[in-house]
Amino acid sequence: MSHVMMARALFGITLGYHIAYATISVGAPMLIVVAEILHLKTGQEIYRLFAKRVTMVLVLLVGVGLVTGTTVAVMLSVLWPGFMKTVGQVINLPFQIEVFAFMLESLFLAIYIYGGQRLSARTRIISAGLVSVGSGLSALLITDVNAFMNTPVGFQWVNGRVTDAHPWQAMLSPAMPTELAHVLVSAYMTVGFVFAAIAAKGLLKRGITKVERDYHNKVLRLTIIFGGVMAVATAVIGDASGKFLAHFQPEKLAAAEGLFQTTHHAPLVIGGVVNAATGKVVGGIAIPGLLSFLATGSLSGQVTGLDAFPRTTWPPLFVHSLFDVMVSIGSFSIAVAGVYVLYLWRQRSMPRWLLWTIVTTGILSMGGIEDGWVIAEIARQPWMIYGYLHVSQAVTASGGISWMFGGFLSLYTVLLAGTIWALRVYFRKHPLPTDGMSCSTETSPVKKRGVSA
Amino acid sequence: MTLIHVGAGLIWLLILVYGILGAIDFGSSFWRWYFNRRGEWNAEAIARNYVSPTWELINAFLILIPVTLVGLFPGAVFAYGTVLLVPATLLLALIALRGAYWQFGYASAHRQSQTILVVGITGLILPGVFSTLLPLSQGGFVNVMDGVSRLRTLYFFMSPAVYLYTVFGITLALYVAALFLSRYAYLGRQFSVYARYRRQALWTGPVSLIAGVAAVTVRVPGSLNMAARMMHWWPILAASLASFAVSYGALWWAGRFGKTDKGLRFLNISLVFTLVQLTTAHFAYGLAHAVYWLYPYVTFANSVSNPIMFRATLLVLGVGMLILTPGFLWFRHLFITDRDYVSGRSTTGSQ
Ligand code: HDD
Ligand code: HEM
Ligand code: HEM
Repeated sequence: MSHVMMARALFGITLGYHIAYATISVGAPMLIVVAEILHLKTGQEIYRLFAKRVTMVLVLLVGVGLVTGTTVAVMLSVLWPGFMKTVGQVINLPFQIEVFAFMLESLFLAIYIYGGQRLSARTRIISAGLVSVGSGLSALLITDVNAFMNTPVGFQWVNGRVTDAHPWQAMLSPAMPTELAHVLVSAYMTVGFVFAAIAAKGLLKRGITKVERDYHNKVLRLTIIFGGVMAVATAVIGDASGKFLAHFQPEKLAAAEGLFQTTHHAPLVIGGVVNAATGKVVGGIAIPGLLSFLATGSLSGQVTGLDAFPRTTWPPLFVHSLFDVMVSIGSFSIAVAGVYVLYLWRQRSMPRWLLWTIVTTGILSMGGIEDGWVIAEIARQPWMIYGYLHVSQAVTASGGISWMFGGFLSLYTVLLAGTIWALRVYFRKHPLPTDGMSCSTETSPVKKRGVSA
Repeated sequence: MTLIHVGAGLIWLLILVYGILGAIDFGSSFWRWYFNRRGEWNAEAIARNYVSPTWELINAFLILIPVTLVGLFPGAVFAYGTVLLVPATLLLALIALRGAYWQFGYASAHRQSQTILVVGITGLILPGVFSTLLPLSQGGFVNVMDGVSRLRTLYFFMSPAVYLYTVFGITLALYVAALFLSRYAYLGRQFSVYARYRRQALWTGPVSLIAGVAAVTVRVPGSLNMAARMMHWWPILAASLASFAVSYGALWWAGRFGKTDKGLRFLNISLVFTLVQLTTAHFAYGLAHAVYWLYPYVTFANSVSNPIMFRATLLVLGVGMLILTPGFLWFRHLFITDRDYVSGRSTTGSQ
C-alpha cells in the first residue's frame, strides 16, 4: 500500500472504532434521562433499574471512547499536519468548544455516578440531562468540522494558503444543518435499537422468571419506540441530506446513486453493481423519475451526473452499494418498529421470530452508522477539503506508518475484546434481582468493590 | 507585551494546570498500586476515592492543550506533528491502555489486581515520558532535511538530559501526589494513612528538586542554554526555592500535631506553597524558553495563526471556563472537600 493509503487506512480504522463508542456515549445518556423521568413520574423501580444498567454500560464504554477520541485528536495532528495547518487557521473553533462540551459531560457523569445518595431524584435528572447535552454537543461540534470539509466556507484560498479567515462563518457551512441533525438522530436511533436488542435477547432466554420478563418487556417497549421515532427522523433528514448533496456536492450524490449522465427524470437505481468502464449500473432495479424527485422534489428535476466532472476527481464508485445498504437499514428498522407497535397494539405476546429480528436490527443499526461515515468520507475522495485540498497534499512526510497501523490494529483488538469481556462479566455478576424490584439488592454487592473500585 | 505573548502565556498556564492535575492523577495511581502490593488497604482506598471521579476530567485538560495550540499557533503543531509521529503515538498507546484498564476494572473485582498494576505502572511512566518533551523543545534533537524536520531518534534516546528530565517528571509526580493525598487523608481523618503518604512526600520532594536542577543544567549541543537564560529571571527562581523551603518545613512540622485541625493548617500551607513553587519555577522556565516553541526553528511569531482566529480562540477559552466554573465548584465540593466522601463513609450511590 502507498504511504497515503496507509495513512488513510490507519485514520479510517481509528475513527471507525471511535465512532462505535461515541455513538453509544451520545445516545445512552438520553436513554438514562428518559428512564429517570419515567421513574419519577410512575414511581416504578423498573425504570430506575434500567437507568442504572445503562449507566454501567456507559461507564464501561466512556473510557474507551475517551482514549480512542484522544487517539483521533492526536492522529489528526500527526498524520495530516497539512490539514491541521489549514484547518487551524479557519475551523478550529468547534474543536475548541468541543473540549468544554466534553468537560461538561465528564463533570456531570462523575457527579451522577459518584454523587450517589447525596443527590435527589431531580438533581439526578438534571445531571444526566447535562451529560446528554455535553455528549450531544461533543458529537455535533466535531461533525461540524466534517461539514466544513464537505462544503468549506469562510476563507479565501490563495496559492495554497488561507487568507481572510472568518472562523465563525466557517462553522455555519451549508452542510451543517442536515449533517448535524442526521448524525444526532441516527445516534439516538442506534442506541434505541441496541438496547432493544439486549432486551429482546433477554426475553429469548428460556426459563426466565416473571419479574425478568416484566423488566425486559417494559425496557423493550421504551427503547423500541424511542428508536423507531428516531429512525423515522433519520430517514426524513436523510432525504434532506440527499437534496443538500444534489445542490452542493453533486459529485457525491452521483457516485452514491450510480448516475453517469446528467438528466431530467433521473431514475433511482436500487442495488446493482456500478461499472465505471461501461458507465452503467449492472443489475439493480430502476424506478423512473424517483431520483429526480428525491433530489429536487420534482419528477422532472435535473440531476447532475458524473459526466459533469473530470474523471480524476471521481470518488470510488462502490459507494453506491454502501449507500443502498444504509437506506435499507433505515427502512428495515422503521418496518421492525412498526411491526412491534402493531403487536403491542393488538396486545399479542411477541413471537420469537420478531424478537430475533429485533436483535438483528440492533446490530444492523450500528452497521448503519459505520456505513454512513464510510460513504461520507470515501465519497469525498480525492478531496480532503472539498475543492481545495487533496488528501495526498495533507499527509505527513514522516515514514513508519505501516508498523503504527499494525500496532494500533492490535491495540484496538485488545480494547474491543476487553470491552466485550467487561460487559459480559459485569452483567453475569449482576443479574436482574429476582425477589421483586428493589434496587438495594442490586446495589449492595457493588458498593464495596463496584464502580468506586 | 503583545497579544501573541498573552496567548503563549495562556498555553503555558494550561500546561501548568495539566501538569499539576496530571501529576496528582498519575502519582496517585502509582501509590495505589504501591500500597495495594503492601496490603495497606486504607492507603489504597484513599488514592482510589480520589482518582475514580477525576481522571476523565483531567484527560479533558490534556486535550485542551493541543487543541488550543492549533487555534493559536498552528505552525507549532505542524512542526511537532511531524517530529513526534512515533513518540506521540507511543504515548497515546500508553494513555489508551491506562484508560481502558481503568474502566474495565469496574466490571470485575477478580481482575482488580491486574487493573491496579497496569494503571499504576503507566501512571509511573507517563509523567516521565511527558517530561521528555521539554529537552526536545530546547533544541539539538531535530534535523531539518529538504524542508522536513526529523527527530534524531537514537541520539535522543542516548542523551543523559532526556533521562534527567524523565527522573524529574516521575519524582515530581510522586511528590505532588503524595503531598496531596496526605492532606486528603488528613481531611478524611485517616491519620495512619496520612502518615504513610507524608513519609513518601518527605523523600520524593528533595529528590525531584535535585533532579530538576540537574536537568536544566545539563546542556545538549545546539540547544538553548537554559541554565543561563533562567538565571536571568533569578528573583522568580529565588521565590520558587523559598517556597519549597516553606512548604517542606510546613510538611515537616505538620508531623508534630497528631490529630488536630492544626495539623491540617500546616498541610494546607505546605500544599499552597508547593503550588507557588511549581508555578514560579514553571514560569521562570517558560520565560527563559520564550520566544521558541521548538528551538531554533519554531518561534511564537513564525507559527502564529491569523489575528481573527487567535482572538476567537482566546474568547472561546475564556467563556468556556466561565460557564463551567459552577460545575467545577460543585464537583470540588462533592469529591475534594467533603470529608465523608474522602473517608469513604458516604455511599457510592448510583451504582
Ligand atoms: C443508523 C444509521 C443511519 C441510517 C439508518 C441512515 N443514515 Fe444516512 N448517514 C448516517 C447514518 C445513517 C451517518 C453515520 O450519520 C452519516 C455519515 C456522515 C453523516 O453526515 O451522517 C450519514 C450520511 C448520509 C448522507 C451523506 C451526507 C454527506 O455525505 O454529507 C446521506 C445523503 C444520507 N445519510 C441519507 C440517508 C437516507 C436517505 C437514509 C434513509 C433511511 C439514511 N441516510 C439512513
Ligand atoms: C466518526 C465518524 C467518522 C468516520 C467513521 C470516518 C471515517 C473515515 C474513513 C474511513 C476515512 C478514510 C477515507 C478514505 O480512505 O477515503 C476518513 C478520512 C478522513 N476523515 Fe473521516 N470519519 C469520521 C468523521 C470525521 C470527522 C468528524 C472528521 C473531521 C473533523 C474527519 C476527518 C477525516 C480526515 C481528515 C480524513 C483523511 C482524508 C480522507 O481520506 O478523506 N472524519 N474518515
Ligand atoms: C476527527 C474526528 C474526531 C476527533 C478528533 C475526536 C476527538 C475526540 C476526543 C479527543 C474525545 C475525548 C474527549 C476529551 O477527552 O476531550 C472524543 C470523545 C467523544 N467523541 Fe470524538 N472525535 C472525532 C469524531 C467524533 C464523531 C464523528 C463523533 C460523533 C458523531 C464523536 C463523538 C464523540 C463523543 C460523544 C465523545 C465523548 C466520548 C465518550 O463520552 O465516550 N467524535 N472525541
